[in-house]
Amino acid sequence: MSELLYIKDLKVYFNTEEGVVKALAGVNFEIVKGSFHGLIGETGCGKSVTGLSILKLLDNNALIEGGEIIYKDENLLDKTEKQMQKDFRGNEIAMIFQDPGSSLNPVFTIQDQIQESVKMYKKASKQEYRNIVIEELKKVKLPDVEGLLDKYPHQLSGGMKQRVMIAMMLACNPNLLIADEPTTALDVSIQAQFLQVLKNLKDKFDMTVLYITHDLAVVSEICDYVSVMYAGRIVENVPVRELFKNPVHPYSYKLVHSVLGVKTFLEDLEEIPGSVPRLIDPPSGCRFHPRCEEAIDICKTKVPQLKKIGKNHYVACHRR
Amino acid sequence: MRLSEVNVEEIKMELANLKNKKSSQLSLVWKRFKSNRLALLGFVFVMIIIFIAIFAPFLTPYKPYATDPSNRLMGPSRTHLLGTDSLGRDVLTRLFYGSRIALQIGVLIILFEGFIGIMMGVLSGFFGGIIDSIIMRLVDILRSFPVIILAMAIAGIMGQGIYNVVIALGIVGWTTYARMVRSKILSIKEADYIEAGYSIGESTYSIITRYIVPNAIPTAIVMISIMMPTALIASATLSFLGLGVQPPIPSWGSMVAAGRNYLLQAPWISTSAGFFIMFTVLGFNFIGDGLRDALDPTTKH
Amino acid sequence: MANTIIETKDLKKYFDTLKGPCKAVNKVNLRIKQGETFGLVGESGCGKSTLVRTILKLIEPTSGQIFLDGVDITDYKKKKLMALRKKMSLVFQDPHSSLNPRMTVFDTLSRPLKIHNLTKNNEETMIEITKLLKLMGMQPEHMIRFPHELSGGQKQRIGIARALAVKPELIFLDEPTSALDVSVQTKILKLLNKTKKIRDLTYFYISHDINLIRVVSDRIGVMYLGQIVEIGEVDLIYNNPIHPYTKGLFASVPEPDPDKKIKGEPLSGEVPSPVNPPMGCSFAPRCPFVEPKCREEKPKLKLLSDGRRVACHKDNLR
Repeated sequence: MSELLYIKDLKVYFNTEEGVVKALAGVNFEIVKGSFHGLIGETGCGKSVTGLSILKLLDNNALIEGGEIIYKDENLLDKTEKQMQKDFRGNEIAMIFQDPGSSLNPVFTIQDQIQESVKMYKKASKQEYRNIVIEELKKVKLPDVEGLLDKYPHQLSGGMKQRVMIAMMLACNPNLLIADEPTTALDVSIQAQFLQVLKNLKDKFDMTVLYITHDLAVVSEICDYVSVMYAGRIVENVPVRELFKNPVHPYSYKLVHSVLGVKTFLEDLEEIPGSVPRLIDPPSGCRFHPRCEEAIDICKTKVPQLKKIGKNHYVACHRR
Repeated sequence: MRLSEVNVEEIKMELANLKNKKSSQLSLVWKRFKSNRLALLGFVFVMIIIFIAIFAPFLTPYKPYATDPSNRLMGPSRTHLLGTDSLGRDVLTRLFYGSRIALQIGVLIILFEGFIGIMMGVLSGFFGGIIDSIIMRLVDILRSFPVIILAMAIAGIMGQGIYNVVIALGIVGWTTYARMVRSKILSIKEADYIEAGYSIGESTYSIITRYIVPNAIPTAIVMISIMMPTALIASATLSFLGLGVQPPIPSWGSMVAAGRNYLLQAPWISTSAGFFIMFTVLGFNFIGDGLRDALDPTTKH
Repeated sequence: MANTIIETKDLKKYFDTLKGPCKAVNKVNLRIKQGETFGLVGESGCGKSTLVRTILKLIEPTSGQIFLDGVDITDYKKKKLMALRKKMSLVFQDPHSSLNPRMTVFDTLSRPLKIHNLTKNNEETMIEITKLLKLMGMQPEHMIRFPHELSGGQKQRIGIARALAVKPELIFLDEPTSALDVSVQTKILKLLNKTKKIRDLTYFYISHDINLIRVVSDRIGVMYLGQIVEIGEVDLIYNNPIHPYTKGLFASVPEPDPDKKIKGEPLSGEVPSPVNPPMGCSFAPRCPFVEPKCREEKPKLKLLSDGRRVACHKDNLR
């Protein structure tokens, strides 16, 4: 097994008027080539920031305080904006976002947009381009591909737009696809179709995907491996089956047992006391300790490091 | 905790807190406004102009209409800090008195067009349908004329004078308010809290006064502070063109126009009047921007 | 057998659009029993929100009848409508947009009390609001907060408190947790469940999430293109969906349990426009078991032996 991407102790802070928000305070995980890697956490835990950091698309007030993002033996954090744009964004690493509507340019047809991606690496005649675009659209199982080419984004439904987005990203032949909550805006049946397309791509083209979401059920459907994130840190790196069978970190445990569908009765669902901390002044030590039923003194002072507890299973907790 | 356990004293304290909180809302806006340096600068600019306008007679020994033919077009000196104009009147004195005219016209225009515009905007946005169509088509028609030319025509027909300037500019000016307020109200109307209001039994009147208007007020206030400089410039333009305030009443616009003929011999007349216009307009612009940021409680800093 | 609290007869709501009437709610017959929790499942645009708002008389029905406690309320206006607002209330999906940003929690919660003259003076209002806040697990000091000073979960608690303020018999819950994180969702659902027992309420949930509906409901209805296609006891339908749409919908929901991965085919295609719904069965164009008859004749809800009703032409429904 070889890892395609390796994130080590990534720290990202944001300067705001209220103070410095310590959004990421040590993110560690690796993505194995050809796998679907889930990054899961609740609103504001820093999962989207992690995704954007990989492509260095963070806002101007972001400070990368430390860490490494190793992609194919190169540290992306050392790359200049120009190098990122030329060598990595799109052709190596592509990203799709939550809102498919705002990611497509409303004044160009579907063909124009996908063709634009193809042009980045291939010169061809008009007819050849058309054929390539058709091929790309077929990969994501869009119906009536020929008729779609000359349509504009507003003529498509949300689910179709999201698939066009994927086709566009695939057209650049990226090695890593980062998907940030791609189905949150979609209906369940459209989401199911979308996940089918992703699964299919994985089987046929050996895609590597970083799938960022808050929805554990989706992770269970398509991911092989999961990183559980809480308040800017990874608390558990775990194979997906293991997460549902044997979640080790107290937060992962609560999270898994609060998912509807795992439990049938309302009374059996777990609650997490308290609320998510503000990252301007996060709790000392383990950031989960104020809400943790098992917290002891050391949890308040020392940051727990990820340690190996099983095959490919790492957890950051003093009690485990 | 039993539900019947309600500490009345504790609650009374909260009631008092609530009253404090509401008054502290204003101070919060002021605090945010203060923390914005440009806005504070604008506030100081405008305060200076208001001070000058109020205390003009005490700030200068001269009278704005007192001509002195022997001292025509004198350069700046110790006796006449900004020199004199073609009739020997003290320029600084006339500028000071001119601020009274400028603010008076500005405020009147704002009140006039703001009142009509906000009313029309609320009517058209809330009720929609035929009322909306009629008001918005009227807005379209009025806005299809170039503002200054329409105002010139109106001023031309009605003659010069402060009130005519106000009417001439206000007749087109309200359309901007109406459009902005209407679109704001359309977006407020879509919010769930409006439906929530209906679902607990609020009357239409309550919906407008308690839900829609309070949420539209910040927009209206910001509009007013942003429109103030526009009104000042427009009235100065009319005066410059000779269609505004009648001479010899000192107005900045007509002073710029009067100084134009002596731009080489006595550049201080036009430039100093121009500076006063710029100073005031800039002040109001800064205030407008500052207010916009300070009034929105949801703005994340 | 418990009394029927709400009943609709052939309820229809059409919206006028440029392309013709949009049939958002198309002949819905429902009966909700006193004290039960009913869950209505369907995808966005199926008309579930419109149905609820029509029953609440927030929008006027096009035709059909609505009965509350056996009384026809279809044509209620003004004063009678006010009385209705005391019996039924609504909790919204998005707590961020359902609270007036210019009102404090006190203002928001005092409105229903004042409108319906439930309290005589400010002090009584205060006490009532404090009770509501405590019921929601919040403190009196939250009274003076503005919505933007509260977290998502707290906002939703205020939304629920507002719905409870008038002491209603029936509460409609429009996806009350879909805008919240999972850990907050659990708290809100448990809170709602507890409140139901304390206040002896009837709940009408609407959601796209079958897993949520399953956990909270006694009976469920499945809605597609403005019509109920299957309705009955929750366990019966969850364990053995019969209507092809219900089957497809359930199969589309991502399954969190890695041991239960065997499931049916998810739905294919997309929901047709309610402006031009298909002739016959509205699910026919997407149905894997479609027969010629399905394209011509609209199926009616048929009572099956296990007590559920299904609108499908297929005879071997099992």
